[in-house]
Amino acid sequence: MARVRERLLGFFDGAENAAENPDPLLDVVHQYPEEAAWFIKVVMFFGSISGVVISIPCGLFLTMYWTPCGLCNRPLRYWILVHCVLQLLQAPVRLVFFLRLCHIQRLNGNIQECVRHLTHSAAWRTSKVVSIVTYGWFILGVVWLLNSTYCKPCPGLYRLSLAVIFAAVARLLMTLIVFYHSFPPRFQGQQPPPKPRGANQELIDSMPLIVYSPEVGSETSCAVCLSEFDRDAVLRRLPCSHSFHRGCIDKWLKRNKVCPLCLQDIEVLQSPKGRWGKEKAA
Amino acid sequence: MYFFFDGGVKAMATIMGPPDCPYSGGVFFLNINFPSDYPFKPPKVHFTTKIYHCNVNSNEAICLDILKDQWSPALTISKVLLSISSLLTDPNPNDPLVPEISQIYLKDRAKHDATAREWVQKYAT
Repeated sequence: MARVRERLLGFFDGAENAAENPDPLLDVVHQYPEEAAWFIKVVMFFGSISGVVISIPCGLFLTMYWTPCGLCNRPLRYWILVHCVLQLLQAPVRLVFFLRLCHIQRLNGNIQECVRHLTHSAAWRTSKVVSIVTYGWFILGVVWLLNSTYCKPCPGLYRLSLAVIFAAVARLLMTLIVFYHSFPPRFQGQQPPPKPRGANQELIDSMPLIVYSPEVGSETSCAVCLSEFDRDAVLRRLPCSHSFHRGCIDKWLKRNKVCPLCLQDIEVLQSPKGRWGKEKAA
Repeated sequence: MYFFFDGGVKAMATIMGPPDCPYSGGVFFLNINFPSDYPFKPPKVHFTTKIYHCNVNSNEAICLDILKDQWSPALTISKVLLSISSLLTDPNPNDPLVPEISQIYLKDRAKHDATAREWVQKYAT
């Protein structure tokens, strides 16, 4: 009995081979330990519970109608059976993961270390393989279901398969929703934080052009190309009163509508008072 | 701070580790690549000297806002180098490229500084 227990514990513990290929889950845990712990807990809990909950009615149905189901033109009875077995196989790993995380949080322990151990365990790796098989099997089930015709001897089979597939899709959606709620927005996008946008030609044209002369204006060179303004050079003056060569600033504003020097948004600067907007209208 | 421009689209620069930070005494080399539409796009700046810093990853890429979405065509290479130099003095652990280093920086500053100094000794002197 003790040996079985030891084996079982070893199955869920991967401290020895922790060095080799870390699980991508660990990166997330490294960066956001609290959020990741909550996310993993929710997903693991619902994953294990939903697996068991779905398997019970399916099991009952199959034991009652196994023989008539065999007369249907697609082997949906086998599909449901295997699907339930796969779900039940994953349930204990998920439950252990959930309970361990709850335990470590109650003790205020190191979540990273806990997840590292669990993700390196044989149980986790097996569960990952089972997951892949589950996805493959799921797709097969969808194909079979789409190709199945009305089954007179066992009409419930079609509806049950449909329900199982819907439950799987619902779980996937729930995982995504929980993910979006668990992590700060920075992590989800990672790439585009409020992307600076370029100005359109109309906005650019709404800013006045001036002809440079050494007497007028404070700047003597263009901050974009760094060359000195020639006499009679055509400059564009932004609402923040910084001026640049027309060609230089127009090219920049098309990419990003902020002043290169003071980084103020020219559209925002211009809109509340509508200074040049009114002039144009008049 | 030195800057060598070879007339093409690549340049090399060095930054001296600023005083009063673990990188002081180090000499850090950087490669600068100018995109064809520079200065409308930021230059690509990489360290070529290994450095222990939470905003510089193992490929020596630098996580600095002005080299990304906060770029302005009015920024010159000397201003960029100055920003990188101040990033050495004040790392930004809230936007890390290497989360492990930022964790150590926040939790055990002495250990972080010791490792950084060790790397300077090893790679940057």
